[in-house]
Amino acid sequence: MNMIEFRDVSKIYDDNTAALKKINLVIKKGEFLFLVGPSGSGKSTFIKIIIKEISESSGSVFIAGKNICNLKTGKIPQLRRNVGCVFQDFKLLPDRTIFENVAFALEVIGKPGYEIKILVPQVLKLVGLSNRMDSYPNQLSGGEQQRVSIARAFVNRPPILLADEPTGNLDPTTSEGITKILSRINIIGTTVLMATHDRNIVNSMRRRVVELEEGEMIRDQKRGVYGD
Amino acid sequence: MVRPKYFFSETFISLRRNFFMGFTAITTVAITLFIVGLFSLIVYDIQGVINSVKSEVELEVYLEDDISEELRDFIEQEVLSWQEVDSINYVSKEQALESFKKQYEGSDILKEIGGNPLPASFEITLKSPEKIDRVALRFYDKDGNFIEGVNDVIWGKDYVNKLFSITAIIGTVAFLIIIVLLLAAIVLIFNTIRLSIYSRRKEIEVMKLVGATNWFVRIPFLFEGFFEGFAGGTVSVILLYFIGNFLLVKGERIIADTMRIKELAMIGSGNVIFYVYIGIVVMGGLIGILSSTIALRGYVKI
Repeated sequence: MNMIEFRDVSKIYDDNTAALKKINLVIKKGEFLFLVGPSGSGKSTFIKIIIKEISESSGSVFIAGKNICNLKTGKIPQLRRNVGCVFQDFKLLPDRTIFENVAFALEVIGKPGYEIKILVPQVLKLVGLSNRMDSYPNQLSGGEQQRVSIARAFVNRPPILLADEPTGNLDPTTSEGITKILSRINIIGTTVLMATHDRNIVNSMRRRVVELEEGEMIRDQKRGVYGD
Repeated sequence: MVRPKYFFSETFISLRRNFFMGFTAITTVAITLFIVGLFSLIVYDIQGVINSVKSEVELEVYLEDDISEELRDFIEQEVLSWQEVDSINYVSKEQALESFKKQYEGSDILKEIGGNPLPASFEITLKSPEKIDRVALRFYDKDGNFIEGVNDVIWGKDYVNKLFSITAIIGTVAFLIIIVLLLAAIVLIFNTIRLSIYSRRKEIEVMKLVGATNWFVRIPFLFEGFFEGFAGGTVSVILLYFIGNFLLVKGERIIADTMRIKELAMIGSGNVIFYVYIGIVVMGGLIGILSSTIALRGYVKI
């Protein structure tokens, strides 16, 4: 089954810069894919299109077989509940504990309290933070904060998880830990797309690599490395 | 997906954070609606005064001392045939003196009067008091002199007209003040909502990211605006109850005294005040919802 499919997708911003040029790509269910390329190559645009934060200028995007091009505004939340998202800057709420941060993602989509009480500790165990549930984000290291952010993205068990430079602010050892968690989530059956320019991680994982350069897809390799 | 507890706690967290802004907004709404309420009661009250005065409005036509009985009867019949006229009552010179004496009993003025200087007159009451001018003018001829047999015509035109214009002025001034204050209240609530949207922009970002619906994001802010308007309305009702009533009762007494009207008990006659109170609280809530809706427009969007 195709989880994410881009057909001739281009994105031209208002200032006429072409962020994506005629991208054709199919990502199957359960795949783990690295999206690589230098800053400004279109990686973030790629991810923003999937969660409908921005719309493509031309072409079609299919998520789990559904064309999302003409998705009504009211249906966007539903799409986002099926696509977890992790960012370089974590986006944690500083005045809430780790537990509350993760629970927040369930609260705002209307999950009942008893489910929240079960799901949150479960996912925090998955990312190895069971003992930090009552801490606040600023009491955690960068790597731990990113794990919380992954837990929040995954607590709802979305079939797709997107990570935009998740290790961008982290040292190599910590980055490795983050990638391991994403890999673990992938093994359970989640489709994972990780945008990165972290050479070491890509090379050590030997997964599918798609490379973008100035909005064009210049490489799609089965068991790839970062490149020269 | 109804979670009132969540919305309430979010609303109050937000109110606590922006306490000063919220306080200012509530105060402004309270003052605005207090003035709205006060002026509507005043206008209502004056309307009551006018009505009670209207019913007492009458025309007095003083007759020449040497008027013939035929002419007098003719005028009486003629006046009675006018549509606007309710009744006509003849007061002879003697009756006039009698009532004058009664009115000034014990006063020195009586000693100075020799004979009977008072004229005979007709007291005419009208069905429609606002047409009093038109009726009065019929006692003049084309050149502006009184018709034969008539010495003078007196009607309370000044004081009726004054009352009408006072109400009109009060109404206009109140209307302008209220508009300005309403705008101020709306802007202030708008600002508090914008501020709390700003202070919660991270939450909003995360909410959208994990798939919260637009309404879910918006409801706490709508609640906040509603609460501020509603609280302002409630405060103004309390103010009206204690201060407004007091002022109006005083004012009534002054009006009643200057106009020599015995009873004017308009205020305190229950229902109207009650409706004004309800109306004010409802208005407060509406102002709040309106302002926060404007503040949310285009802001909290997916």
